[in-house]
Amino acid sequence: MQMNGMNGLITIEKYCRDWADPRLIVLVLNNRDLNQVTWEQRVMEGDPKFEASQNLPAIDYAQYARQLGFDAVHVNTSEEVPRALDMALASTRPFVLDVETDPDVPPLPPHITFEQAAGYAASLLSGDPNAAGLIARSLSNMFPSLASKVRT
Amino acid sequence: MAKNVSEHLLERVAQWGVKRIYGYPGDGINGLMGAFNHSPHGMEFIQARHEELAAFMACAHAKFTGEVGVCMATSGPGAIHLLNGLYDAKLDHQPVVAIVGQQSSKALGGSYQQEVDLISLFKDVAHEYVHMAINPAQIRHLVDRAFRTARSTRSVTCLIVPNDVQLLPAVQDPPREHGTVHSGTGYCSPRVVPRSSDLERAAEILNTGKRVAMLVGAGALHATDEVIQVADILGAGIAKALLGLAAVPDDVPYCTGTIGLLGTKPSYEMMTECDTLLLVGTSFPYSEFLPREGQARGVQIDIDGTMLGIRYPMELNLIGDIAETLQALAPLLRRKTDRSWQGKLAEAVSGWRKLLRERALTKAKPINPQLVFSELSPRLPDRCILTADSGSGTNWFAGLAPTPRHAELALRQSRDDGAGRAVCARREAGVSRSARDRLCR
Repeated sequence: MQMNGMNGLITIEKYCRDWADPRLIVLVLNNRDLNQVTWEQRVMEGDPKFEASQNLPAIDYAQYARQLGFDAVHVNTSEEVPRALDMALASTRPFVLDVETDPDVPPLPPHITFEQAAGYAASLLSGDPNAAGLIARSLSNMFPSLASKVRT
Repeated sequence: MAKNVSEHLLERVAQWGVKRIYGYPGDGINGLMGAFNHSPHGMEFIQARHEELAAFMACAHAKFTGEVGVCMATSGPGAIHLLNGLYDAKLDHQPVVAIVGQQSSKALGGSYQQEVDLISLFKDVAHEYVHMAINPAQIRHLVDRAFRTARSTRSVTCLIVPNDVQLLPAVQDPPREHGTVHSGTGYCSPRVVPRSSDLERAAEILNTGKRVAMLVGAGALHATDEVIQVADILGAGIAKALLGLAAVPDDVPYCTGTIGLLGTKPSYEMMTECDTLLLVGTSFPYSEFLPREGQARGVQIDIDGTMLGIRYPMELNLIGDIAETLQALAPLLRRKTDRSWQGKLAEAVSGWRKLLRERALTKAKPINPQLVFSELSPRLPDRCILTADSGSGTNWFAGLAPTPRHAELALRQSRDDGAGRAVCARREAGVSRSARDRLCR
């Protein structure tokens, strides 16, 4: 979002009034982390998250969107998610949905190879700044039915 | 009647059906900018924030409209900025023409202000056709060849016009003499179908198989019904490369969804257990998610012969349009009476969906990103346009948003990563399609 997306929103603002149908939803998964590469650092390289390269400045995307004249909602609880999606889908003009998401939820591959598991374990052992959240979220995603019982 | 080279160039571009050019101005293209004022065809200039975004927009235009996308940038830094967006088009096989300015022809070679060797710069991304105009009589055939080459090879082409040449008197019709070129406009896409003897060989392989796995990609986006029909006859499962996500809706029970690191377990298992592999319009690159060599007999169909037989040693490689080829193939296929393979896959898919929903409901701080897509999925309207950027969100997008019927989808992340391009797709989808819901991440 911060590399080009915010600039792109300005272009949308410039032209959206000319569109026959100006409905458009931009969903921001706002986790303040360059998250995919962070996971690649852990799983492929066995390194902890390198905070200098991975942490992103906090930006209020909803406020930025409103400044451009769009409708926008900022969501930071799970309970708000369904209603926010309904609002976004009902909007008749560009809508920015800024959802604060957890960067520690692991993108699990369909089949975990030994190298991936070893890399991930090594990253935790080398002092990943997010280690506590990573362990909890990884376990609950690998064994979700168990997790719902013990409430990790 | 065009008075100068710039007006002539825009007029010729308009004759190729172009109504809109994405770009960013600069003094290297002021001649061209001036010509927009006089364009009798009402050529529209869409101003991006950055040339990279203009090139992404041109690529998105091509993806959503099937037309040639056109972008424009000034000499030096402006031209350099285009590259990332142009590579998106190159790697996704989209027809895009880049028109770029250059310093005055009188100064070239003089280490002049912002002088960049643009022919060399664009030689890789636009290797099918990159030329610099040095004489007004070239404009007609340079435009014609740039557009025809882009269309017929589904590639990026590039025209470079020095700023002094832009203002020279136009030569619309070169004199009929030795050393001149007399080109014309127009392109008709061909019907491409393999020979019937080759289709019979494909049918023999597919009819013999007991556990057929299909993998479909962007080449199958216009062939939804044909893909489902062939899978139904063969009792096959259908996995989807990310760029082919909209090729088959996820309400088809034996559609195993995406494949690869971002993919599903049913897709993975189908590939490890199949005895026959049918690759349809895809160059999905990750061989560790395809069958082991020798495990399966393979047939591949692709419109581009150069993309065949790269990922798995196929027994038969067919060049053809996916819809036309599958239509021709279907009558040669025998309906599998044993439906247990397909039934087993469908069962695995429903189990996988249940697991994803359970994962989406696990606790996270503050919000589980999987929950957002799990809730979004049933709300997606038919015929929506979905675009996605690259990042961890692509994982959730790939797995958790079953594609509705008739969705159109473009991903700006395919094989050349870079954030922000989804916004270009959004914008382009906005101007090229009017009556669709759009959902973008």
